[in-house]
Amino acid sequence: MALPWNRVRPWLIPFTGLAHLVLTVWTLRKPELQAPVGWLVLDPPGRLILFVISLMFFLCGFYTVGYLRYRGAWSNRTFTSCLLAFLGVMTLVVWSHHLGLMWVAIEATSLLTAPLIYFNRTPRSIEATWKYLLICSVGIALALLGSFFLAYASLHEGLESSLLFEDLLHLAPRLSKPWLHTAFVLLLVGYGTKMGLAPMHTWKPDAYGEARAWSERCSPEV
Amino acid sequence: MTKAHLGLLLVPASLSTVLVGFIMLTTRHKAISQVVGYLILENGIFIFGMLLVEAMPLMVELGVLLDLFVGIFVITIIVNHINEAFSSLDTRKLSALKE
Repeated sequence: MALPWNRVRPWLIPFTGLAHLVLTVWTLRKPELQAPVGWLVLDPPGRLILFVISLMFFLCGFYTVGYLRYRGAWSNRTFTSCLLAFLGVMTLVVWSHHLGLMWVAIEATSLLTAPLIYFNRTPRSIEATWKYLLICSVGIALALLGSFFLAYASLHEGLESSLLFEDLLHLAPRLSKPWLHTAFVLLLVGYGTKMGLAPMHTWKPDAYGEARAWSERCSPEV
Repeated sequence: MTKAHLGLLLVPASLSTVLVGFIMLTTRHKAISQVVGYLILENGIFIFGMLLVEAMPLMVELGVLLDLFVGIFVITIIVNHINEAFSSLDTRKLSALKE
């Protein structure tokens, strides 16, 4: 973020969105493209979600330019950089095929969203940020515990433990049942908190009320 | 893969630490105590992670560590701002937004 001008910087958002969209379409048209490591795979639902995210970000980018011009007096350096990093981490969430890596990326999205909610710097936005951060962090911590339980379900049966989606599908019938059930509950509650499923949605109205346009998030559950 | 890990007390220790963290999170009013509760919760999860030292790749462990570090960093900044805006750390004052 070397650009010193507060007025020019917001245009980075739609331009990055455009570049992301072009690269996404280019990737989608070449299904034989593979990442060198097995952790990054783009599966069929991932293709759809990646395209939707990219398109939404590109369209919301133009709205953001107008919004930041309306708020012209305030420095938007943190806002812009966090929003761009958010796009990158969101792409990593869609690409990752390793439960641990996906957890890292999802936690990073919630951390990068906190400065976006806090942009207005009023007591109300502090309150919304606090509730969002605490509830989402605890929820995601539960999801991490669920991932560990899932890894332990195979270790408990004496199998080689792995969190890659392919290995998990392959080993699924032989995993230890009680650990598997507990892992399912923890993962549902954990990622459900981040998605805003019904009993764990309490942070959502506050955060969206304070940060209007940034509801483009979606946590892809594979 | 041996079953040597079955005799250890790691699972009960981690579950009880997680529950202690939850009690701390839900029963305290001060923001900083809730942050400490969250840290205890994470400690419990990491005690469980001791069972999986061989299973988790180093990159993922480093990513988790970095995320937690940055998370606590951001939360502490917010706590600082709460202290400035409300001149106390009592989260009962954070009640302007209602559903």
